[in-house]
Amino acid sequence: MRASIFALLVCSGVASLASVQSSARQQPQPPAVAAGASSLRATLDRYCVGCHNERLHTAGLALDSVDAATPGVNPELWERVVAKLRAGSMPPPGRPRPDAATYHTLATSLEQDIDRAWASHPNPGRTIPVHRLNRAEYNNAIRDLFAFDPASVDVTPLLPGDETADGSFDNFADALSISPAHLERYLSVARQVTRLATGLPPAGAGVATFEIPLHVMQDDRQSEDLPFGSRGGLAVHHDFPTDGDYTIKVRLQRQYQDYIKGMGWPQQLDVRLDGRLLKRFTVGGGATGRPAASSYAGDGEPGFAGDDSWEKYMQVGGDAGLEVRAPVTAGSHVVGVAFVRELWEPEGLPQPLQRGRVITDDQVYMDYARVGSVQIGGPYTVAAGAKDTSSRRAIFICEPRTSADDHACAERILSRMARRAYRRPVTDADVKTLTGFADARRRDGGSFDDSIQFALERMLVDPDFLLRVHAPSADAARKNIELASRLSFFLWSSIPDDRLLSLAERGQLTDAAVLDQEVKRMLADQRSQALVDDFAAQWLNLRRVDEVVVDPEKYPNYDLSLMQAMRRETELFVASTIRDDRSVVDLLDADYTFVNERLARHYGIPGVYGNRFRRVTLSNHDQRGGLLAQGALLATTSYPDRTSPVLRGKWLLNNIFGLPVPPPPPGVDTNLNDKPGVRPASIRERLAEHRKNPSCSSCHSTIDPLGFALENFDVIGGWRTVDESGRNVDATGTTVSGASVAGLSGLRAVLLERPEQFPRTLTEKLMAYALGRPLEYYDRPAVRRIVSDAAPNTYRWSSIILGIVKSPEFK
Amino acid sequence: MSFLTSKPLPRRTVLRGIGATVALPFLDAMLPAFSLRGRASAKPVHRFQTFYVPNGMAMEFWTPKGAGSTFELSPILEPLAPYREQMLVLSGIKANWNYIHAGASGSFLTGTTRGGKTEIEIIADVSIDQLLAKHFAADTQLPSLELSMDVPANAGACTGNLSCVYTHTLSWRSPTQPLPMEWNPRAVFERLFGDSGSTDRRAREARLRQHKSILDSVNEKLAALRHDLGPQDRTKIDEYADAVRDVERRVQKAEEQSELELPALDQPQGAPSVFEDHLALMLDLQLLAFQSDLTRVVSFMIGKEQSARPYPQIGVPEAHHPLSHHNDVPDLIAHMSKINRYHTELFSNYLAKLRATPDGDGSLLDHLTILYGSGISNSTRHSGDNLPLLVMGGGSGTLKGGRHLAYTDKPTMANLLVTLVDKMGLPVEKIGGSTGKLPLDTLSGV
Repeated sequence: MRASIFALLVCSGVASLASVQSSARQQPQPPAVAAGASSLRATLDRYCVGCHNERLHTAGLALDSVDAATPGVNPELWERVVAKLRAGSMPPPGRPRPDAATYHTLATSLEQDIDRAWASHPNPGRTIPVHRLNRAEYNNAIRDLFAFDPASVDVTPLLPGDETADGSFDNFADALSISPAHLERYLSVARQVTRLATGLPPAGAGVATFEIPLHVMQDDRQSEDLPFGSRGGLAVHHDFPTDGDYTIKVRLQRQYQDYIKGMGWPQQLDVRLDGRLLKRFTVGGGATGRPAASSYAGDGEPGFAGDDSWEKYMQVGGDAGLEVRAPVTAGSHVVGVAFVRELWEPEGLPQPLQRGRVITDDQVYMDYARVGSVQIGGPYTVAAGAKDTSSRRAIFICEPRTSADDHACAERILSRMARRAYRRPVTDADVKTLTGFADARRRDGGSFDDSIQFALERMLVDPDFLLRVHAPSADAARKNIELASRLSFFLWSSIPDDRLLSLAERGQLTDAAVLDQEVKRMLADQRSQALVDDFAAQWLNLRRVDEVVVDPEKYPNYDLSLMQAMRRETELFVASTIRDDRSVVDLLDADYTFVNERLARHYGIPGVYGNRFRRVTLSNHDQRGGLLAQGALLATTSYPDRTSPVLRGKWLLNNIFGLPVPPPPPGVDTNLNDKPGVRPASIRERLAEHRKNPSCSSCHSTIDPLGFALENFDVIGGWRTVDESGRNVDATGTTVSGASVAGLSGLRAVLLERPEQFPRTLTEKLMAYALGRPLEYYDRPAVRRIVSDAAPNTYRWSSIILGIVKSPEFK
Repeated sequence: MSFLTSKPLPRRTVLRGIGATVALPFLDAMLPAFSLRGRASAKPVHRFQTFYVPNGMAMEFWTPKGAGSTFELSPILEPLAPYREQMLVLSGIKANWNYIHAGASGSFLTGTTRGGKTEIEIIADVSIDQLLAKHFAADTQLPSLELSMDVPANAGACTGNLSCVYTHTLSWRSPTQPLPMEWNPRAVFERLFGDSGSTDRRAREARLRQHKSILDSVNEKLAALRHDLGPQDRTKIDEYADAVRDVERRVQKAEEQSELELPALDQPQGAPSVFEDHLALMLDLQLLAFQSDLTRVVSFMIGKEQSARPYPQIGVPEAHHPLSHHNDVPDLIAHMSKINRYHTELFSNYLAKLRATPDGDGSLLDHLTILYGSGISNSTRHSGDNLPLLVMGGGSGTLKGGRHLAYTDKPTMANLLVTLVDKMGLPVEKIGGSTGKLPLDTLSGV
């Protein structure tokens, strides 16, 4: 792909070519070329071999000497040609080109030839021999092994991040390395996790801190775990290691001068455990003495600071003593800290969000107080006696009555755990290793529970747990076992459950009917949420939403609650299409979405109140509906202070159209920023270079029009009719094939014109994710087959997923 | 024990600085390398520390009278009298980037001549502690430690409409990657000593034994696995085995040095509410880190730049930052100088401990270079001229103290940074806006 740009530079610089081209131009435009080898050869000769010949070898492609009669024998070359035909990016703009129908017919005929050849010898492609669990998978695996509450136990921050190349997924095997840093972390995490799971008392009191980022709005009920009538704060699920006394300490948010915000009037702050009120504090309104001058907060001449008593209250006293100590039982509980909702201003007078330093001074007093962080500390006194937690119940299926029973019981426990952890029937060697560790710990003076903990610690560092191994010489039994893992990591990002494993052990998983049934069962299971949290979140940039930088002066509407809501919207939307087994095309074309009040206000949807997300039917399909109109995508393809048709167009081509574009040639200045003293140009004017310069236009003629179509959406996905330069938005563009694209609906129409195009892109992405490797040319026939098989079923999710599971690559 | 499950600050505000520290592991220092002790001390270890004080200085009470070796200690410097022979007082140095408070801390270790222009433009330059951290990375478990006494609050604008990042950290890994400073002693302890709960030798040894047995067993498993796979497929297994070997090596080294008795320190539970207790804990941890050679580079802010901390315990109940805007009123300057003197008192307590801790053929203080000071001189005007700066310690023989160097040709901080880094054994061409090296070995400045 990169070579094609180089090729273009070569092409445009070679004078001798001009004569070839002009003679071609003088010939009359031929009618739509019919499919067939002779017409393929004719088309190539007319339009392509001027540059792509043996002599020039442009882009390493010599189309004059290849055999056009049997494309099926050289799929690698012809897939490249198909890609260019589908994108319409060749011949480059300015050169004569066939009409749109010819492009389509030719590409289809080539695909059919390749697919026919493939069907007789399907190429399963590269299988990955060793594939390390990434941290999401590790986290889910221990969740399932030890029956943790996923909301309260999350080890992903403790593990090293997984590398991803741009556009790939973090479960690609080749990128998942095993360094000493990884191993050290695994050792440490294994210990912490198994101590928590077995309920061993921690070495000492611990402190867990939960912070609320500055730009999260705290003017409304924040979560379903907080009561109606609450305002701000947060609810956290926390796993308490043992029965004992714990403290919950609240720190309020300060402004930049370290004054606590909103202390001018009394507000009530509740601390709750599982919804039960532990204590209600009154904060604010307690400052005495003369306040600081409200326009400076003490920054400037002397005397502008307040009296010492006032200053002390504002810096320290206001949230001193916001601490509750209470007995809590072991296991997962919800700690909720929130204010009682009292309105500072009467309803019906929404104030614009204020920015800058001056107003932060006003926040000293005349605003809502906000929670900055919540710290859960403990246990400070440990209650003795057996604990009953979900993870202990999951592990201790027996308890030895006397120490003579120890070994037998340990064997039972450990062989059961090892089977799930190693995802295969356990061997004697496995059990012997693990019980050996248990016995050693016992001899060291540990209790029975200690011994199990140590053995489990060993188990979590075993290569059979951390790695998925594909043995080349696998027999049918082994194949079944490996298939179970491949399925569960694909659909659940986790280890197989007992039922899946049992079917595999009995050799039944390779049976088509059983496979069908299991896939459907797994999709219906709530663990399939992983497809949203891992696959969709990466494909649709959702993991980058929190990191989006927005210039708050140009976009005062921006706050983190809005960004979080956008992320949630897309998550819920994609999840709904999977759950309802809808056609994947609905992802582009749906007439509904999910919003809460903040997002609804942003989108201009009336009548939605409260923080809870609910489904709404969209009334204006030209403005909203489908992924392309959702804020998360639009914000992650913009710059902090302006939109970027190039970023958006490129993202669309890579991820929706399935026609990836290469990066710009080296040495090109891609900085479009305003020159000082010059009236800001519209984005179209700034991108005019793309059309003038032939070395730019071959790619940008495909990229830019798509991005222009989304120009009605600003940097944070709001609808607009005037752009940053003050001109009316012009959301039209012309594609390379001459079609006009106007706005969101125009874009959708282009995508839906050929019904199999988007399903193919989705299948490619999903398949790469399922296989743990990028797709190559030899996988394309499989993709096309999966999609054509799914066509009668209107391209439902289940059809596509089943297609992937049954493909030779996956099996 | 519960996890360190704090939700990180918005990644955007510290760009990839925070993100990087979450993604990369806390180096699990339950296996401290103690790498130096195994070797014969051919070359003495040389460590570097920055000790930053915020909001400028009451310069009238700071600048010593006289230059060269016969200078008179000023009131603020008086608590450092016992360390006169290991102290260089520098006058006449300019800040590279003078912009309210952001420039002060933003250019202190970076020498950058400019920063961002809006709340969301976060840019400076690489700081010298990070240059040194990379230099020492092979020798120590932790390349560097960045510590402070204030809760991080990197989001939003703090000074002159620039991001709060500038005032909350001194350390920059790259021009666009500020590093967060850790304020919670518990988190620092965990980074240094992992989850063993204390520095007690028996606990450490037990943990090392457990690691060894686990790793041995894993090795056997790997060998068997390797056998099952074809030659082309063994790469990942080999990676795993290499990792095991590496960790085993560290375990072995740690065992060899395990008889080192460290001062007893249990894992702190959080940050104490009394300033002096919190400070003592943070300084003890730094000393421990030096003593066990877990790191050789520490950057510490006793207060973030623009700190509003009051000091009622010394009779200054006013918030520091507002007080620092004394408008050149003499009484207020004198009042603020009490804070400055208190800082040097606390600093001298720390120096006493460093001097009392043996290290090789001397003390920790002998083998340390400490840069003490602020990025602002006259606080009421945020002046960047004539910064209050000290270079303390023996510098492992590279420093000759007992002098007041008064520079007259207005060199910038960046030149001092070049010299300091050079004395640490890492000569660099340029740092930030430097124009050369600052001569430290002259008698009385230039």
